[in-house]
Amino acid sequence: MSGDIRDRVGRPTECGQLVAIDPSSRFIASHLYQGIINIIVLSENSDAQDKLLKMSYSMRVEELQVIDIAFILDQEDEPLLVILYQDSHMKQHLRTYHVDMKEEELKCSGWRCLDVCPGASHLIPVPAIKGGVLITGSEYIGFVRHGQKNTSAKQRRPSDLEGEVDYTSIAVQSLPREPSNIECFGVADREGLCFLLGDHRGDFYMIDLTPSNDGVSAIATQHLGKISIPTAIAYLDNRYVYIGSHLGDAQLVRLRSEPDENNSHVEVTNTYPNIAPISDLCTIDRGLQGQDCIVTCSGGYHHGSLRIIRSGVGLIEHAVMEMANITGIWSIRPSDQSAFVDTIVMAFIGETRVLRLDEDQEMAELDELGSLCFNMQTLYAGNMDGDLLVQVTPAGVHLLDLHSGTMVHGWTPANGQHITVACASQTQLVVALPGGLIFYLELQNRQLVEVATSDLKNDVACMHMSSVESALPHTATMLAVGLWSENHLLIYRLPGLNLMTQEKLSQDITPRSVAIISLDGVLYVAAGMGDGQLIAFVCNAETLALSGRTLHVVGTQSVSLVPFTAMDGGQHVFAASDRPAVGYGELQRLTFSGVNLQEAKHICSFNSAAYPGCLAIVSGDNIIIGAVDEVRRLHIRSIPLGEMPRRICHQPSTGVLGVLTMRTETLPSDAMDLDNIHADSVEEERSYLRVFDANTFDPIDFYRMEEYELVEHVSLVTFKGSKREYFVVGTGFTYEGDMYEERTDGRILVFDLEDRKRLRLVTSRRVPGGVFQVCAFSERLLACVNSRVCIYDLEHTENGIELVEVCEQRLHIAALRCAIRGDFIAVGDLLRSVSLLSYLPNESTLSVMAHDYNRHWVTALSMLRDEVVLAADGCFNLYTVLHRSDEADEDMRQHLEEVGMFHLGDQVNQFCSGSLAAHFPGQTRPDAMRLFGTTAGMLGVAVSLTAEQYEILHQLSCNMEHLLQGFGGLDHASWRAYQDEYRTAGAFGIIDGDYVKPFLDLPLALRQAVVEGRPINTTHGKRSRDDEDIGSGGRASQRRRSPVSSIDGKPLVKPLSVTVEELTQLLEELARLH
Amino acid sequence: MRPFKRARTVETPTTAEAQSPESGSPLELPARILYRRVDSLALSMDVEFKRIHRGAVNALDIERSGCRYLLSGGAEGGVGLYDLDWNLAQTTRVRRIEPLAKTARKDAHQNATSDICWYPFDTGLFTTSSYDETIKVWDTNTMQAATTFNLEASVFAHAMSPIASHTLVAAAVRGPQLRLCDLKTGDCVHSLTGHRGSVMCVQWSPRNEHLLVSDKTIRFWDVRKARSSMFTLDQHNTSGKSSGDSGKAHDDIVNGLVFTSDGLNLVSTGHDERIRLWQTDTGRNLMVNYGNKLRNQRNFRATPVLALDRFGRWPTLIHASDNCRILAFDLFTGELMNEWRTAYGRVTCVAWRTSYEELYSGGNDCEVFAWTPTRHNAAKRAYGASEAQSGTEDEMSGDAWTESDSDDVFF
Repeated sequence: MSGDIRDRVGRPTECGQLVAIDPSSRFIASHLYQGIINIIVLSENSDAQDKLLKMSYSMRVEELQVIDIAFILDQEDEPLLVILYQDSHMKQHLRTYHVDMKEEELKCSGWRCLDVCPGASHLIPVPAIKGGVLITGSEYIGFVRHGQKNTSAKQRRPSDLEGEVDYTSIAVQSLPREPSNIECFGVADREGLCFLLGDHRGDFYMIDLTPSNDGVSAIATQHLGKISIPTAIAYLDNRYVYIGSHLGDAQLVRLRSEPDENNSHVEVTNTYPNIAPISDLCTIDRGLQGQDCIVTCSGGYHHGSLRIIRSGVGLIEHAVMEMANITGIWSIRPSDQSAFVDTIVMAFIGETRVLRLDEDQEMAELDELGSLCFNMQTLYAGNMDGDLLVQVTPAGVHLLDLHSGTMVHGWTPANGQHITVACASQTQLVVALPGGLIFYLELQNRQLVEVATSDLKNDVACMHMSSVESALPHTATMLAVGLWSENHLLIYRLPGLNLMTQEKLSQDITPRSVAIISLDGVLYVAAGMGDGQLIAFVCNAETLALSGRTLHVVGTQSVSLVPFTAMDGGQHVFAASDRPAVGYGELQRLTFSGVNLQEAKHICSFNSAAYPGCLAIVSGDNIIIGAVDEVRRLHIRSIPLGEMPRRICHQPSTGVLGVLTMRTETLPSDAMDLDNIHADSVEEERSYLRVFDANTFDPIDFYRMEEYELVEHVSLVTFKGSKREYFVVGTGFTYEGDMYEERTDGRILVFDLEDRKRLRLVTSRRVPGGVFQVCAFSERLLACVNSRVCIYDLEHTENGIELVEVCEQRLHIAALRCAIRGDFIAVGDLLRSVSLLSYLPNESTLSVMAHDYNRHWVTALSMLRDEVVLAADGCFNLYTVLHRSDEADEDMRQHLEEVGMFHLGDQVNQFCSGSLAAHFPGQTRPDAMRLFGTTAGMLGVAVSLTAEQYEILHQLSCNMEHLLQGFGGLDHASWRAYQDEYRTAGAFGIIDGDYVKPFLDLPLALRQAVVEGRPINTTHGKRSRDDEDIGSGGRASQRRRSPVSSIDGKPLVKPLSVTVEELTQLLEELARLH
Repeated sequence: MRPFKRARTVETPTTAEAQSPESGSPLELPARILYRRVDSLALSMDVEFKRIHRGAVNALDIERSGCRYLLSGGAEGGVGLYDLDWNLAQTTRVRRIEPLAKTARKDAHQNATSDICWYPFDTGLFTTSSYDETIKVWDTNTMQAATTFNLEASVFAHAMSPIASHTLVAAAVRGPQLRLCDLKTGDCVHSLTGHRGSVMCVQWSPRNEHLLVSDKTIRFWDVRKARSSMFTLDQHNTSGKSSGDSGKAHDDIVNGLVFTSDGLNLVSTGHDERIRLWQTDTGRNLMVNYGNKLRNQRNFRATPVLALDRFGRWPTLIHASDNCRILAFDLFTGELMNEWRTAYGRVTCVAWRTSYEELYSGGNDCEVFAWTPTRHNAAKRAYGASEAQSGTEDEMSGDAWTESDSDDVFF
């Protein structure tokens, strides 16, 4: 059952939307608009399951600044609505109302409480004590109870409301504590006498009420510890509390009965990352074909952090074992027939250890395994045909029987030389000796027989043999060898050890591992180099010729490659380095996708009974048994800063990130500070420009701003006549407190990062307004200073280097945002929406080319093309405007036309170009694609479509809306309809990708039906009957009833002009873009 | 949650970006900036209207949807239409707004225009009422009267409902009846009787389809019912809603009414030089004291306007006073926020451009004036020395028109 209690003319409240539910479940009260409380009546008849919400009534209240509302049961068990409000003298009071259903109004109940706790912010109903309610104030907590009269009648006010006779003051109050604003509360126990409170600093308190005859005799407050600044507290069970937070990470904490060494009763057991609010974001392009990652400024106040987000493959961890200093790892099957492995052989410098998975699925270390050599480093271990285990150590090759453990055969190199590298298949073995000698041995009759040998003159660095293209599954036909010194890659045909191809990989970097793999039907030979790069070739199966050399940047340290089979049976290759990645074939190309792992040194496949399809990965000091996830997800890494980051910019040339932050510093209070004469310390906000390394995120340097200076924006600007890129920061001065001394100025500061080590302030300039944004514009600086848009040059004058104003433009009310594209400047205003400016160099002026005459508060904007601007406004909408520069009519030319409108549902703070998807060397990424970050932590992608793509997707969206019933009977079109304070308009020009993408998940029959526009039998017809509108009576209902035809009779559901396959392909192509 | 402060403080978007939509109003930043703008209103040095009326400007109205077009009705009976964003991109110092259109002499009213109203739903239509006993309905594109209602009595004011599905125009005429005309049929369809004296002003509620009129009493009518008025307002709140004729809203004729945008409150002003704030559902006088600086004695409609109404924090009531002043009050406390003085003639009517927060006034000097915020001018004064390069700086400071205790300055 759903309805709409939206009021078109009501004024939205200031304290957000408040809801209270009656403990006797008869009413739901909501305060959405000033002066009005909306009461929804719940049906008393619990048998009537479908009619739960009966009617809603708008009732008037007098209080304009309502802080909180709550329902309690009074002494007669009637629901009483308690309202905490503030009057014009900033004092908080309590007033109560009864819901009078006969007259459909709120009747003042006559019980009120004047001048409750200063700084009162929340009402906590105490159901355990009838008629009792707690009021949380900034210093103490008060308890009041309905019906209590105050005997001393000294504060009787002339009754401006009839019937107000009783009044009372705070019955019981707790001891005062540090002044703070309580953010939220939760009930801690079943009796309802114990509450948990969190305040704006992250302090966690427990409130205990001691009941008595009259109500409550005492309130005990206990400080428990520190948590994230909470927006929701929920007590789960067994001393576990869930803390939900908007400004920091959500936490699951456990309350300890005894305090720990920090005197805290709070133990954080789990943290759930939260990237909201995203104040700013930028993309970092990591190398030639590396994946981009996004760095966001997230978190608020002391929870501020930088979050590095990349799209990649996840690793589902099943088990972790501690084991340090492993140099190699291999898995062994117990016999030829068994498909699963159960033993891991680990090589260390000078020894070998073995782990076995026993029946209890526990990994136990074996002290001996037959005649396996434990006191030397293993170079290779693996299964061979005939239930044999082969172990290669520097001393020689041992062949062991798997069941008995006895050594069947051995092979040692002549002349006492030692083996350096080995690789093997089920029936073949190749070992390399120093100097470049390689021996090829075959397994014949349980003996290793030398078949061929070759002298390569240079030491072998790595080898790999592969049975990919061979007829016999266990016999390899190709061998790839990588050499030191000359850095060659050699491909041999087995069994003859015939050299087929030789390729020089690199001038000075040695290949550290090599692999022959078949991905997506294409045979590749890949060499992982010592500097983190990977060189891949396409290999012809017959001639073994190499072609199509591609370079991939995978990490920064040496890469080892191990092919493996994923859980779905697909072949992949794992590139282990300090940035582990999985390579797979897509569209006949080799692509790498980062794995969510810190680093990986060695891996082997570990397809065991307990852990099917898994890998054993040596990472750091651990072995991780895990499976590679099939789905690409976003992986978030957090760099906590301890202060709130506001803006970020990336300098690709030096690999440096510039971050503007704000920090609350506690300073000892000044005796002369009259405002805070009682406080021991004063909290002050200071701003900083901090510079970090973009790879390691180590801090490089910082600059502290002046007192009361708030940083607004940072950007990289290159000025005329110099190639240096400067960090330009725009700030604004604020002064809270004394109303007569308000400052309305700001500064523009220009910094130089010298030697990538030190920040130097080059020059600064005072400007008459807060600088909302700075950006680089054709070798100059463009700044939005309050209501003006100005252009500055950096010049050498007699006073040194100075910023000199070139021109300004004063069209706006407050120029909040600007975006540059070539010679065009789009400026977003507080009220006047978007305008397009251009700079005329001859006249040195900024002229307005076109203007959007609608009213929008622009929160973010970006120019998609020369004539299209994408903007987000303060009512959580997205819209695009088009500049018709070739129109003949001058009036039309100066008019920016709205060509797309859409309700996003969240406030966008920044657009930036870039993408999280991996991109290929030949593929051009669409230029008109933007990433955006919002206040609630949403990351989204906006992609430009062609006209025909739009038509297809728009019709698909219409068909889906009308043929498929949405969840809860809610209407997608009305959610996405553009709405602001003045008008509502249906969405057009912008498609909701999240809505059309699930088309790919529909069963084929439904997909056919949607594409053909055929009504679907099962769900159609249920829509119109159940949608009872519970909006206020008397107003004409605005919900559409008939889904099939629009107002003018034209059918809304039409068959699409493409087939299901074409549509699927289009949607998959778009899905790949993010 | 921060305690409410009436501070003119932080203007940065920090709070707007970090604040989750549930915890506070996301409109705090524009509310603060717009409040500052309204506080710094002064006669605009940059905008000038070309004079088209030969008599006093009696009525002004700005349309609701885009707040871009201004209609002015003059005492000679003519009507002018202005585009407030006329020539916005031009670079000369003073922007001169030319009228988009004006009525020809033969089409105009025979007598003075008393009131002018845009059709609430689009700008294709507007209506004017006049002392020549007619209401004319005009087509904006041709500036010609499509229909004329003949009411046989001087019309003081008229109004159309901004939300209703009916197309009734309510007219306040000399005589105790309130007339209702229907735009669809072109006839006068109804008369509401109940007042004793002439009815000077009329307003529709933005919340429901009621109507108010006034003489000394302010009566609420429901147009769907044929019976007499629902209730009247009583300034002393003697017995709540009174359906009889006992209470009086003002001690003298009421000549101005305006609803708040959510329809919950009503402001009335009368010849007793008092402004009263009422609650519309209970009819209660909220006893807000607006002081006694107001002068209101003319036998003409004097409708005040409400500024900053949508943000709800500090709505301001702007009222033209007979002594060449415009007064701005805080709506809920009655405090006088600003007092502007004009050197020309008496201000007869005001119009507010919502969300741009600009004021337009018409006076009996036949001119229309714009009042725009002067903050950037004030800021420029302090930094005049460091910005010698900027050639567009005004020599004359904006001070002369803002303070009430400065002497008259003549052009």
